[in-house]
Amino acid sequence: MTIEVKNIVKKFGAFAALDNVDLKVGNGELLALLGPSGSGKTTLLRIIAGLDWPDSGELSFDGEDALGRGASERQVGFVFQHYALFRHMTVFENVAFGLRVQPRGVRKDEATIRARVKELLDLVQLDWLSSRYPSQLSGGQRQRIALARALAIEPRILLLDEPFGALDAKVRKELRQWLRSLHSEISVTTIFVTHDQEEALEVANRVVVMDKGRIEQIGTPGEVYDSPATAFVHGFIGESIVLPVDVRDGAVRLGGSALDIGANGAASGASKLFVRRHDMQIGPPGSGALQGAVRHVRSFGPIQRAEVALSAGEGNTVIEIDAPRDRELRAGEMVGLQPRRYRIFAAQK
Amino acid sequence: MSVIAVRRSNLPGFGLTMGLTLTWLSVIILIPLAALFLKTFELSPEQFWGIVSSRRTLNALKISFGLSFAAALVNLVMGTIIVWALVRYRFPGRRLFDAIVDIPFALPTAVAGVALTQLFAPKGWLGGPLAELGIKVAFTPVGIFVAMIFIGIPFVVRTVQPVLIDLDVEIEEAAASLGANRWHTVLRVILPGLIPALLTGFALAFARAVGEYGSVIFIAGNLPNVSEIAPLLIVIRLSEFRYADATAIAVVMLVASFLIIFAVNRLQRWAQARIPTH
Repeated sequence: MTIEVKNIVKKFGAFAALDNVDLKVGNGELLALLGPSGSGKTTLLRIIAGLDWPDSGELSFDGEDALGRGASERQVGFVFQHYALFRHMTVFENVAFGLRVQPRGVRKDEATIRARVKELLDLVQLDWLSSRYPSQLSGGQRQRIALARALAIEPRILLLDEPFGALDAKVRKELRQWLRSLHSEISVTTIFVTHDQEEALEVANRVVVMDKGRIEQIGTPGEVYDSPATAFVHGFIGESIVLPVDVRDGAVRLGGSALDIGANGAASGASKLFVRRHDMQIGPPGSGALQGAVRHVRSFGPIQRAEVALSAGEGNTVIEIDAPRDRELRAGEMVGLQPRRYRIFAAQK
Repeated sequence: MSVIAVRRSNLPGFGLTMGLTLTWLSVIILIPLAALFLKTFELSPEQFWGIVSSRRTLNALKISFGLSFAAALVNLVMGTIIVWALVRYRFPGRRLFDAIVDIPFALPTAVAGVALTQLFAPKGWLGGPLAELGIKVAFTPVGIFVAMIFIGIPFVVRTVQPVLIDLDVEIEEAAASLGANRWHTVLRVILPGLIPALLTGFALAFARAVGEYGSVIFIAGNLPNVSEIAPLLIVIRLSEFRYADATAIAVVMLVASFLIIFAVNRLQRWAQARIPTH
């Protein structure tokens, strides 16, 4: 099932939750909507599900208008952040719910329903819990039951709202991998919302980065990480060093002194220089575009993280860089820094 | 008790609070009730049976319990609808209506009785039109029924309201996305979650109606065997200085009320066991 979102606008009072959003989702895609809270990602998901309606714009599934139909008619599986399981029903009845409420002509007989529920519980590997109540399950189990329940109606689209947001880090990691393998097994068009960049980059085939009701960038995890389209995306995804610079006639200046790096075609004016922490090459003093004094070093795993006070400006600009441990840094040492890769965006977006 | 339970508890004050609780409940509830039972021992079993099984007593009990049960049922249905409207919709005057629900709690029952009687009397605002339809309310069992509905409604509303407020809207959205229509959602998802609260509200409204005296006697007409409630019969016996008679009826009411409340309590626990909370 393909999804097409066209010019969707949704306002809550004066606040624009979605500001002219366009999005096309291909059949069988596993798409992440990534953004900070308040970016509109959940609102977009709820509109696709039919739990909210836009003020204007179009939404179609496989080219057919979807806004004319309510949530119960869209055949969209929705998984809530806090599971929203029916507390008074057993796990089995929760999963069977969607099959039991089907209109009389379509509804399957009891034996078929039982077989289907069993199959779904096997799929989420929780068959042994079928007679328990939701309150007796752990968070991760509840979320998998919620997913099995959503899959029971054979949804044409699967939507997940911060599916792993309420779980602890270890369970989250397991469920991520599990979701990806589940998707390759059933290959239903899937969109999930997350504010966790790692989750989005690790699970999704394509990532939609949103901010303030607008889509900032759509791309593969590699694209949004390696070539961020906007300052927001660069700052939001991955850890970045951001320096206020001035671009004039192709020269980049920091605090009055010119840096030995090209402007890469950035327009003149106040700008921001973005460098990934691990893209800052450390050399002997005097080499590189920037000079600084190491203030503090912490080493863990394969990297050492150093706080460096830059000489440019008034010396009160402190940046954090990640360096490999082949050369141990010491506090107080002077170093030269050269950005291997960097991007310059105009300061005002 | 003190040796077994107190030693390992992290909560201080077990002995003190437990002692106060038992003393207080004894003085306020258990001793008066025991006195009630003791008083009936002045009667021989035959006398007791004679009083209790007399036509007038039986009719009074039937009227009290039967109408209370019916009124509680009406309150259960209407109360649930009122709660739904108050919790789920935003409309002008909502807070006012919300406050109005409490009036039967606060109003002196005699005032309620007089007001209802005036309203439903054959020449009253509502009694007049109803009389033309051939329905007599005041001074009939229907009047008792109306008074009992009046005093019972806040019990259902106030018990169910917080539970419905707490009920997550997400579970309704989940039901909708699974293809359930409104009817299925209400019947299979919302109501089951409310059942324990509904049972409590029903039990409270019922108990209140059984014990109601003030508002009912004004509107009832108080004809023996027709519109005479058991509490009134007790008062009549007392005013005739037939104390043993009064206590015999009181004991029957007490036992019957206890059994009904007990049954509702069991039902409630059964329902709650099926809906484990977190």
